[in-house]
Amino acid sequence: MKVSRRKFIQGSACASLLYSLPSKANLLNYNPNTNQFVFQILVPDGMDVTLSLDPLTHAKFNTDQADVFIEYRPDQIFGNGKLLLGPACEALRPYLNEIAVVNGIVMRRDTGHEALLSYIASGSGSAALPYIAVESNHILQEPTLGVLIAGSVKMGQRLATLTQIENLKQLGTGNNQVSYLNPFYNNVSNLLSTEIQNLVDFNFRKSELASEIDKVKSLLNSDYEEIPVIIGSFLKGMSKTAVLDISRLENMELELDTHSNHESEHLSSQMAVWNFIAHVFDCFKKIEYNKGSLFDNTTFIVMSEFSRTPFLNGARGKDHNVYTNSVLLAGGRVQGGKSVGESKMLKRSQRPDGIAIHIGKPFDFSLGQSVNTNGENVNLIYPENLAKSFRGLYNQSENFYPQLTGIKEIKGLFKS
Amino acid sequence: MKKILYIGVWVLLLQVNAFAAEESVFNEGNVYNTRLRKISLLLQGTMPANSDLENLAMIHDINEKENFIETKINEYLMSENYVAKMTNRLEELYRVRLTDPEGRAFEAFEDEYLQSTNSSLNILFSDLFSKNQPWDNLLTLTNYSLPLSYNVANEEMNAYQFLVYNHQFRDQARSEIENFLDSLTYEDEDGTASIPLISNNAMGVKNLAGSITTERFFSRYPTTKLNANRKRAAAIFRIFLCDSMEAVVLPSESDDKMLFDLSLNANQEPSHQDSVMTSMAKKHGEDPQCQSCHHKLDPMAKTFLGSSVVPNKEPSPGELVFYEQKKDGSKEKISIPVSGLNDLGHKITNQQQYLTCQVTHFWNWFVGENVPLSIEKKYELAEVFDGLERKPNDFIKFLLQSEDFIHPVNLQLDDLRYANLKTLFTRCDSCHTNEILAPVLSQGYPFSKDASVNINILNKIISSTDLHEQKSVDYMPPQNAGWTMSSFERNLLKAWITTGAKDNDGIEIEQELNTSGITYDENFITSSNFKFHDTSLRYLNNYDLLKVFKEIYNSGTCSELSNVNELITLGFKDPRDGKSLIESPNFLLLDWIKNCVEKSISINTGYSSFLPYPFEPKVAQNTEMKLDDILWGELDETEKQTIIQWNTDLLLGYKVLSAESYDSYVYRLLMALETSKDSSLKEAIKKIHVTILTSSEFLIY
Repeated sequence: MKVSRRKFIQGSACASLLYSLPSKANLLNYNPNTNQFVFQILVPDGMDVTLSLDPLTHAKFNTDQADVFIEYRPDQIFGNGKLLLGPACEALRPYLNEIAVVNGIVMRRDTGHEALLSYIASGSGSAALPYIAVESNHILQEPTLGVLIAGSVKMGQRLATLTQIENLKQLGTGNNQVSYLNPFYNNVSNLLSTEIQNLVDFNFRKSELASEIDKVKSLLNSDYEEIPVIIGSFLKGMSKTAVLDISRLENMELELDTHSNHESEHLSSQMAVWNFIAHVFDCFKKIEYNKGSLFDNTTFIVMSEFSRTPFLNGARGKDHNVYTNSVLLAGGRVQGGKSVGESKMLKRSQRPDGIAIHIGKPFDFSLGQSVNTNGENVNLIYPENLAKSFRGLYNQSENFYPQLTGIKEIKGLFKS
Repeated sequence: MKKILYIGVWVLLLQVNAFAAEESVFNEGNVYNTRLRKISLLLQGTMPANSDLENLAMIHDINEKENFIETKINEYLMSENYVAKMTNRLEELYRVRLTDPEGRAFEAFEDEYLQSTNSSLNILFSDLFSKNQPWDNLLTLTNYSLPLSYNVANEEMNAYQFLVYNHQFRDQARSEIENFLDSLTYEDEDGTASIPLISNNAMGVKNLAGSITTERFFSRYPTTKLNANRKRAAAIFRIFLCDSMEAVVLPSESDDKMLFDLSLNANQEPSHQDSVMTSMAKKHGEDPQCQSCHHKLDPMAKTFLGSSVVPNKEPSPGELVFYEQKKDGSKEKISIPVSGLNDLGHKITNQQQYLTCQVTHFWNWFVGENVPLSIEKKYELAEVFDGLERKPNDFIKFLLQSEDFIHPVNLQLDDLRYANLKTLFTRCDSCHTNEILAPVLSQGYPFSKDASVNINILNKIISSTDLHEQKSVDYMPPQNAGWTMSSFERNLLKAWITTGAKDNDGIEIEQELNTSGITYDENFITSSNFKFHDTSLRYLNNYDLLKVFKEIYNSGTCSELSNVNELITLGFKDPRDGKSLIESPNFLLLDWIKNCVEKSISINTGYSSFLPYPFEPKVAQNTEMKLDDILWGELDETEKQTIIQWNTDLLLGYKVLSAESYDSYVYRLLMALETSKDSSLKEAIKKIHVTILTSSEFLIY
């Protein structure tokens, strides 16, 4: 059993527990055959889903440009019938059968970028729950480096080691042995004993990790140093989860919060996002792992805090739309090639206030499909439904978000 | 044989001392030296001079020792490091980027938190401490100073000039300042001096209110059509009235139904007959969930009307609405009309809630938030603070000489009382205020004079919070409460209940509670004692770490943070939510320390301190080369011990540990070096440094 640093501290005042610390070596043993990884990618500022994960045509809802501003032709939408993607996602075309999209997620109300990014990433609107990757890290029995992060994460009540990806970009391959610290801490009550064990282990394996990262780097030839760092850490079993805030990438200049001049500016930024995502997929595909590729053994989650209002405002921009949002899932455990949930357009002519709305459609959680009627298991899809659905990755473990008791799951997102 | 005997004695010592509880190492050391180290780190973020520790240790008279410490407190309160450290504390409180004492730029967080730290707000902060000005200046000052930097001063001046009522004065003031700025040379712009911006004669002061009308505050808390200045109001409530309100998305049945109906029927009436925005504004005004915060936020936000980018010269009236916590624990709603921002600032400073809130900040900074602070104590401290004309330095000095600081009373597992739970119960009450039948848990204990009713309420608390861990579906607080009980709070509640739900006098209830099967981690109290921030014993963190290492090695090498994320590793708070991503050191911080030592240690720093010492003739010359030639294993035990002791004193501070802990500590170092017999003396010293600097004894103060 892994003893977390906090648990150790709690036990440190009790001398009888001092000898019961598990060996770090045991903690690091893992069976690659059972390894699964989770890579949560956050795209802050709010993406216009009509350009990507939830494309629209005027014909579908009998709308015009004043209801929903669409800057692409219908023939630019591509897909397989069950999953349609907009032109910003062109780079994902090769992955159509390995990705799934959840559409029509309602974010309830606009409380700002930060609060809603936390909401979609964790399923809690009050920052009470950890991000999905942090919760997964707990279930996956946190390896040495815990959750790899670029940007900040919400931890809820979970105690997890967080390792900045940026730190790992600086790894050297020199002699980093610090095992001499062990005798100082062995059998002595000290608050930092477990951290020292981790440090010794980390330094012992640092060169190994650094050379793995170098190896991956040369194989991938990626412009983004973060990718080989994450892959290298996954391959060495030093981490199983990562949270990457895409705005932290050095080579990524994005303008997504387009309250003005939305046209083409937002599209080009969003294309950059999806090109990067496709590049990540390419990289993970290239890495062999567990009789397949690393892509097959990883679950990717790509999410933004909200969508954008359908029509152009006075400044020819699109504002925050909390009435619908979409999330992309990918990887070997994802039931790919389909979208779950739908959104709909409420035209301005249908609305008493004359303002068109793009909103999530009611969803029958027992049937697993969107419906136009009320019913016992029918409700809108909220972020907490999505968060709980990741139990599908972990044999419906009740230890995954135990707080979400009574929340309905979206079934059929993951292979059993 | 001699060596075996020697080690035998050490083993004996180890057996006696090595397993002493962590806290005793710090609390029962040489108490005065330990206290001086703590005071120095709290006030300046640096270690005390070893000569001071040596002098203090040589004083035997207790009164003289106290006098010595008082002299040092006075000295520290005058230091630049103190002003920088306190400014950083205020920046953390205001959730803006910390000013780096070294002037480096860490672009760690999002743009909106990156406004220049060289600003009138920072001058206001630093003047509070360098000039011991009244704390109320934070809300009432109308006479700002600008940094001595042409670009910054010019930018801020442009913002403030709109406040001038009288054109003649405005033009005159602007021209004077411009002339002054023009006269600056590049050398003048060192940012350490300031120029007065606004004189009371020339400027309209009706709408200026200290820190909350500075450009940096305005930029940090921007207003939008949607938040309508509420961000600013929320910051004021949090900083000055200790009422924290965060933006949250709370599920509500009525909201969800409205959204569902809207999705099914576009023509939904009446909820969405207005625009989305109007509907939301209307909801904020009517929905009880929203109203719990918005009835306080909105009237205060009104005072910022017309002040979106810079303070409007015309004040906008509003209202100060808040709940004052009375001495008996009850809360009273206070509503005070205010004529504008300046009036708002003054009226806040007139409130008892403001005083008790401000002393709580000082308490957390210097005594520790984990040391229970009762409402009675808050009132008592508020009176002292007021009596000291609300001057921060005087109050800090008072706190550092108080029994609360010298002998902090931490939570005792076997003596938990109602007062320890009151904060938690207040949070419970915040959601149940409109329920007529719900007991008000924070207003006193027993909850009812009728013992049977009291026991029923306690049992209801046990079941509704699922203290038996039966994973009930509907336990408190519910999903939509906007908060959850932390593991600490859960353990605290369980411990209080199972130890007899004592009142504030320590009297247990007579009846039996349904506590059978309630289990908790008894060590939760100990574990809460050590964090990076604001615990009575805390870890060295952020700029203090950099400063301390710079002092030890007389080198800025460690200060060269290679990337912004190291700030998180070093325990910096995220200005977005004011929290640290990690609360105590993880191994990456220790790795940073190790690398820091390896980069910094040189003949001029760590080695030089002992080279002249008694290693003649083995270490005859002050050269690093000599240290390379000698193997650790070649030294005899006395020499090894001397080297270790010398370095321990150098890094930890002279007599900071108790004699017993010190012996144990030195022994552990000796044992650690046993595996380094073939290391050069230079390498061994490096290892000694890494070991000491990664130990709790060094990192905790």
